[in-house]
Amino acid sequence: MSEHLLVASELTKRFGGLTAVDGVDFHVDEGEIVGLIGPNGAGKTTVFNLISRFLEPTAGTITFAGVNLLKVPPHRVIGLGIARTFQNLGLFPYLSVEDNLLIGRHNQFRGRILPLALGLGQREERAAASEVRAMLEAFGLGAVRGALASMLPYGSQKAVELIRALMAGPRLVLLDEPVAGMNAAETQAMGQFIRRVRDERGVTVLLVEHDMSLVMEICDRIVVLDFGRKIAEGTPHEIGTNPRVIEAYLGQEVDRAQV
Amino acid sequence: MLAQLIVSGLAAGSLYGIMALGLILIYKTTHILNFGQGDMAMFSTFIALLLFQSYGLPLLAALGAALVTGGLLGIVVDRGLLRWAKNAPVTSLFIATLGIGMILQAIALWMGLIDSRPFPYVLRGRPLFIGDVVLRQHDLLVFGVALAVSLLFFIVFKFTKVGIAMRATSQNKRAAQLMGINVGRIGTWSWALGLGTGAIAGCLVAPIVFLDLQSMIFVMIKAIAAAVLGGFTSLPGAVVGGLVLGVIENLFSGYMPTAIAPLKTTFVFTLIILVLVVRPHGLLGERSAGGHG
Amino acid sequence: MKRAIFWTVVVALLALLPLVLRSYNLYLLNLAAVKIIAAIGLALLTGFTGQLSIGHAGFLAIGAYGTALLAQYAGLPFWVGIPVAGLLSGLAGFILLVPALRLTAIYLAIATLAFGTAVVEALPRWASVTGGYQGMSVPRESFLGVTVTRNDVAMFYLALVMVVVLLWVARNIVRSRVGRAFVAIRDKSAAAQACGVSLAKYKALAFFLSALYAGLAGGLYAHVVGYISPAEFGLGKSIDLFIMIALGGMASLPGPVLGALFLTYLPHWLSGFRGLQSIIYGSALIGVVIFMPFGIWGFVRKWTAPDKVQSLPWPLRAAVEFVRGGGGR
Repeated sequence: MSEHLLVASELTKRFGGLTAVDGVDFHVDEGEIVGLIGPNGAGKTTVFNLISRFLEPTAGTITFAGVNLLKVPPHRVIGLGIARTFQNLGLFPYLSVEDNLLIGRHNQFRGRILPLALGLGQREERAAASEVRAMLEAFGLGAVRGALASMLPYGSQKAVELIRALMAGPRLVLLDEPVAGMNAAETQAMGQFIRRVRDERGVTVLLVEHDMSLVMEICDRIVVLDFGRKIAEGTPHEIGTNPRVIEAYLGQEVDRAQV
Repeated sequence: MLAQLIVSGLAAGSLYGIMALGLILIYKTTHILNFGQGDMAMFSTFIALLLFQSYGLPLLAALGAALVTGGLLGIVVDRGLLRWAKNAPVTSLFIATLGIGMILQAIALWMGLIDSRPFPYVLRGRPLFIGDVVLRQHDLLVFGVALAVSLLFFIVFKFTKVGIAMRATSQNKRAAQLMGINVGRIGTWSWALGLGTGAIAGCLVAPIVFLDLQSMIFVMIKAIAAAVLGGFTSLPGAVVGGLVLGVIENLFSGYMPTAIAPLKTTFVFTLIILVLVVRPHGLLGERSAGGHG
Repeated sequence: MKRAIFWTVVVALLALLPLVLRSYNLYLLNLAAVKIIAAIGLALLTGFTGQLSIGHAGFLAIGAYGTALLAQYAGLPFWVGIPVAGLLSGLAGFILLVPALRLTAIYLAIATLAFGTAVVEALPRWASVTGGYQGMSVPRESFLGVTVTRNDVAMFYLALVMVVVLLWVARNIVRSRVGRAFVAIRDKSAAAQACGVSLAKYKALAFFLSALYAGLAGGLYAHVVGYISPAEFGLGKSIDLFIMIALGGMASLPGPVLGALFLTYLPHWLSGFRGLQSIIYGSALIGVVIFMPFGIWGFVRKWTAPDKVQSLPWPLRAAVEFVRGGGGR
């Protein structure tokens, strides 16, 4: 049990009468890329928000590296080693790319407010800035450092957000629909990017995604939710041939056609 | 004593409620907090006073003219000014409404509203006595108008094309646009109706407090508080908020020792904050109403 | 380095102003300094952190009355009284933290409005100490043998020092991790939390700093005018402060400075146009909103953007590029 990096057990979240997540058990191991998939409304983003501590579960537990996550306030989650991205972009639009990444490593700043107010934080600031520069160079985005985040093309914004998540040196990153709204080429690039993050930096990845080709290509393991319940779990191959999964997705197609 | 305080509190609260209805209507469809509402109501009311006193118009006709002035003012404000500030954030537009208020104050001053001026009551007959509660006829009128305006808003929103379009616009501007609703025109309608409602409130307040350049601003502040109490986007909430506010305020100044009684606004506001801390979206507000997105 | 020299020269030139300006003009500048300090404080809260306040005059009142009362009853000199009163005001800022953690936008605005109203209503209650509605005069004080209270020249130097120091501190804060956390909270509070920014801590800090600045401004004001009364700190003052930062450009530091100067001098210049001043003032507000949606500083930034500057004639271009170097976010 304790060898898993992230463990959610019996995780349940109700909103009024609606049960968004219903007794879900799953785990993520160190170094894995795990996909969390399911039709719209299956409860995937709710699971992310539970792990990020934006929501309080109705029942169940989440532990990360042996620590009970439910005892941690949202802004401490990153300090434990869990960073995340957001479905509709969590970049700060009026800050430069550099400033966005600096916020990504907000936790590492040690300067206290009084010295900062007296202008004594320069050295730390410079060190952080060069770290940011190195990170951007490493991923080939050095040229956009000074640009306003909102001015970048969509695909680059998604990439910058992922890089920002890495700035804190996390062990696990949660990616909420990393390729939503991207074209085929951008999706391909993002897939390779995610692989690189895992391979080169040893960062574990848990991602929610609708793009099946991406999920099938990069995930080691897939967890499938439908109406808040876990209906399947396994390798991409197992999931691709699981009749329940196909049914769940087909059902959704039918629903869509009727609307 | 208690009954009397409650009844006069309800009368004051009805006035806050009417004023708040106009504010919320504008806020719902345009997301602008109209901080000039007080000045705009003052201006319409002053037009009525001018027509009645200096031009000898019958009182009811003059009051009708105030209503029309409010409506026209709404059209001018929306079409003539705010339409040109499309790119500005809503917080800046709030300042533009203050600017409009200043200009209206200046015009009213120039047209002769220098001192406090008495304003005629529509109903000035003998007060009614119910038990030991004294009810002025004007209070009855206020109740009646508040009820009528609330009903009118209800009917407009529920059954008319414009009202339904307003609701759609307030819920989702983009979707309303896609459905073929002319969002710009809906904004103008809201301004016209909102300022018309402000004019009604003005004409009902003026006989009580007299009319001067500032007298409506205090009513507006109370109306904003009432609106927030009710949950800023809820029209029934505005009325309920106004009534609750009026009653609490009256009970406080009625029962507190004279040393503390002048703190009634502080007390009422503190109470509102406490309510909001427990219910962040007011008594009847929708959960999504707080921010702009 | 070049920039440090530039600003030193600017401050030195400002310090020479009492040689050329008449007392009344210095008095106006002192009032402008009060507004600048308070507006910077409000910009930190509203512009950078996104927390609307329309009750900020309440903090000015705490600073002003605090300074005056400390001088009157504790005999504290102004150079102790003003900082202590400022600190008291800063601590009072925490009162608004509870609503700020629960409420957004217009609901928070009402809470701040309530605070401002409460201060103005409460001050006259304590009439034996505060002088009630009539107000109180601030005890005259001397420093190194010179009477400073209501001495426009002495006050000018105090105001200059305060503005320079407080602007510099604000700049340091805005450019540090704290300033970034403020903006992060303003733009996307969930993402800010996911990055490790504690909403409670940084909102508390923003309210404290903002109230501290307003309190210091109030303390300066008490000594500049020498007489204070509750009515001066009403809703109108709070709204004026809001107008300043919105007109100047609220998510910047030059913005509130420009806005404060604008609101000091425009009514002054307009006092010549009897009867027309409200119309011009109101039209100016509307005009700025229409033509400069992001305030005066936003407008300046737009027209001095690198691509626009390229097409300017040489001397202008050089000047703009020099000043641009780091004019703030």
